[in-house]
Amino acid sequence: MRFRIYRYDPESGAAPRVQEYELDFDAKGKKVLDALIAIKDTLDETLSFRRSCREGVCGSDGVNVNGNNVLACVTPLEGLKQPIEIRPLPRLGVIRDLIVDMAQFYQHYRAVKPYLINLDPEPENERPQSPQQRAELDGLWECILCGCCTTSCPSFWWNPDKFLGPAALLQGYRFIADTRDQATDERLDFLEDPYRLFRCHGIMNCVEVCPKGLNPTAAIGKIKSLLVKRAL
Amino acid sequence: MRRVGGSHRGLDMWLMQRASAVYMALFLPFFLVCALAAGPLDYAAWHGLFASPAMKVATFLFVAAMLAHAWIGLREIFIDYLHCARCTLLRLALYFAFAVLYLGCLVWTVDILWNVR
Amino acid sequence: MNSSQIPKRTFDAVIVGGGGAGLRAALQLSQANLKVALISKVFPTRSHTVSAQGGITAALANVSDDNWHWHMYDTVKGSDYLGDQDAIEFMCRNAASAVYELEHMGLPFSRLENGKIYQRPFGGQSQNYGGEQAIRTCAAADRTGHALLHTLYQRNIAARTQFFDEFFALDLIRDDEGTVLGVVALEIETGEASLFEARATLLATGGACRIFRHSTNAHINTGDGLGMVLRAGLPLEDMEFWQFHPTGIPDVGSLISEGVRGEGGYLVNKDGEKFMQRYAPNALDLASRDVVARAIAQEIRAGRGCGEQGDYVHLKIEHLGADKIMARLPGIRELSMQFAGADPITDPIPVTPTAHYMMGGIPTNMHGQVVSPVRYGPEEPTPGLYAVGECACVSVHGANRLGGNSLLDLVVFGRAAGQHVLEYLRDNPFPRPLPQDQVDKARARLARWDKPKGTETVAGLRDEMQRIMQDHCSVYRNEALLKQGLAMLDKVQARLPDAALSDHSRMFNTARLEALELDNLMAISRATLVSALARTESRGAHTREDFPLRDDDRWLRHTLYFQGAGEHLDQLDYKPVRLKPLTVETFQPKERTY
Repeated sequence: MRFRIYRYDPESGAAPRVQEYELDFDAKGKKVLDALIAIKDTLDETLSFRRSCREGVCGSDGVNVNGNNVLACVTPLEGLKQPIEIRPLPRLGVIRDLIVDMAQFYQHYRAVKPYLINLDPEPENERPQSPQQRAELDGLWECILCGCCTTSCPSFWWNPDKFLGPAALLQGYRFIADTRDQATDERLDFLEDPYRLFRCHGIMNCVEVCPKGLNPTAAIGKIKSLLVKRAL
Repeated sequence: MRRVGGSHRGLDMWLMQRASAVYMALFLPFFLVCALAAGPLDYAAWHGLFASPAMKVATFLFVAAMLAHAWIGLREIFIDYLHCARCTLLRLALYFAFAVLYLGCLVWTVDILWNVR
Repeated sequence: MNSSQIPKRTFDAVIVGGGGAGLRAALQLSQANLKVALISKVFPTRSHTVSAQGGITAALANVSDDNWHWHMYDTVKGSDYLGDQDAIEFMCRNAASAVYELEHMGLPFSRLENGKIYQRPFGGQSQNYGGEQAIRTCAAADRTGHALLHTLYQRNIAARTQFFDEFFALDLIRDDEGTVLGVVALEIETGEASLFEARATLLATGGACRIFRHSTNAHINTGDGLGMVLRAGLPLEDMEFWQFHPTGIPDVGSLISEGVRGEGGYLVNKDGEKFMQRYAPNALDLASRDVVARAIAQEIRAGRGCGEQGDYVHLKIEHLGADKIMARLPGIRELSMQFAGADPITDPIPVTPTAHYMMGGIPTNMHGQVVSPVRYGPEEPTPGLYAVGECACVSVHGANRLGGNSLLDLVVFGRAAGQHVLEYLRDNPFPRPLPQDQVDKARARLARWDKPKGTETVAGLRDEMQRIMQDHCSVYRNEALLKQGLAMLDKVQARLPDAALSDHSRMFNTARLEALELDNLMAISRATLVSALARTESRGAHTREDFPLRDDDRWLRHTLYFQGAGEHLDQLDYKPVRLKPLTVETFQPKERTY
């Protein structure tokens, strides 16, 4: 199999380049991450990438494969056009090879106060929530913070420092939608700004790439309708 | 890093954009029906179409909505694409320039519409 | 090398590991306004807790009649009586409050119609001390670990815990009196080592199933805390006990939750026979994990496995219907389709026993203090050192862990250890002088990989080690197999000094990280083989074909493995099982059937 992989060595001072690899590999049933590991183990130890769970739940190995943001560990090699071109996630700074600097992404995540705010005294047992109320959270809490959506969003490319991006907004809505949370007004106040939320133009790249099948655009739409409801 | 934000100007603009779009979407078919009903469109028919005060106001609102829509749309584009260190001033200047231009258009619209007797 | 060159950061407490246990302990300390550093080699939500699926066990009695005594009985029985009953009582008593606390933190548990937390049946759970199946495991769909890890991380954001993400801990700093004074850690991005000085150090570095070729574990599960502890002269406990989860996807290793059988799934062999009725006539598919894993291994050995190679069996859930599968087991369906090419709504999932969990680990008491025999008894606390989670051996899981008890272990003992650290810091307000030679030793470990040329590669040696462990120390073991394995490991270990890297860069050098991890994996493999060879009985997950019975007279005791040097590389010691619970009667060992 043939690969073209983005390489950047921060210590050499050299400009980033694309390196070609020819790997003798039976692709049947294997994923992109398997190939990256095989390249590292047998061809080139210096190739660097992040990985952890290797089953699509930890969100470490978001990369751009043949132009699409994907999780390397759940993307089948079969069916990919060769040479397979692997690049780091777009727009974020590259630390080395396929490893990007996620600091900005995490900062946006923290900005939406991604934790339950409830100032009532804690009850003895659980706070009740009906299955229907709980179902409102489905499609929100499963986000693995891989960054595939945010880094595929043109609005994020244009204003990465001010637009929170689909992942953070999805998490923002996860707490707005939780019947146990009492800070909806503060959360909406924070988002009512020309940049943080309203840079979203419904381009929907986020929906297309999300490896968990989540829909940040829909969540952003729900935040907007709550804002409207509140204003009118 | 400290960042200011939360100007609460996001929703107004977004709502205005939608509201103006809705008005335009309603007005255009209405106007088309009126125009068709007025028979063959010669100068007299076209002139007569704008004779009623209701039509004047409706048309004025349409132009106002269109200009607001256009201004907000431009503002979106400026926000998306202009963000160099010194761009804030440029952006403000552009907002202002287009606001003046569009207001001028609106005044002109009033002048045209209310000159129809 | 001058150790004064290395930057020093000072904290009240330093926590190594950002999984469930580390985050829970950090929360306790941050909320008490202590200066606490959490070092993690990956961004915390990439920790392996995220892969836990089925749930967290607590006797809430939301579905079936239940109480913590029954949970305690099941856990003691599940542990094949090797679990320490004081710690088990502590965990089961505190289970409900720990789960309610998580709910209050915001964990999105699935719900019952009455609004209470959803619970599902899991293996080894009973009512009335061995009676009817209990329904005790609290779940957030089949992504409970994800929900738990993210919730705890989020609470730590709120508490403003100081995170050092992508820092790799190299070694403990321990002075002549045995007090632990912090750790030396490598900042992965820059490649620079720095010293984290703290009056209390808590290890929460997780499991080490990466010693095996096939495992459900993440790549990062390399037992780094265990390696650090061995190098600091402290023992590891019960390292012969590794849980093989009955249902992992063949070759790939991805876990298929026990919750699948809890929701009504069942195993069949190639003849379509529900074979568990022959091995566990009462509990059937919800027998304890060691029992089910052995049953599957037996079926495969007897030639009744499925597929061309006959090396797996089928797990069927089609009868549950698409709606229930989508609502309760969406993650399982995703994994099955991605890695086994089977949609469980229409096809059976291929499964085989796969290394999953380390019951052994760093010996601790129920406050999380690391204990070892020093002068006066087998369990003297090591001042300044704590361990929680999978890396620790409290021991609540004994010879076999029950499903749903590991997430519980993390939060109950994470909280307890955090609480104890608070007390310890209050009683020990002053820092102690740092032994410079210890710092240099840790840095030497790093410098060793600067060696320019060698005849061996890290990946090559790791692969050999994993094959040895898989072939010689898996579900079924015997003396010849283990001895042969140990001899082979000897040879591989002897070649380790000849290994060198071709990548000598500093910034984000992942090859060097893998090399440092290999040191830890090798030491753990060795501890496992030696401990397993010595234990001449079958108990829980440790099954010796040459000693098929449990032998309480000789072996109702914990193994302690020390790493020596030269001739005395492997040293074994033993300590008694704590059979006396805190407030209730002892559950006396008896025959274990399901």
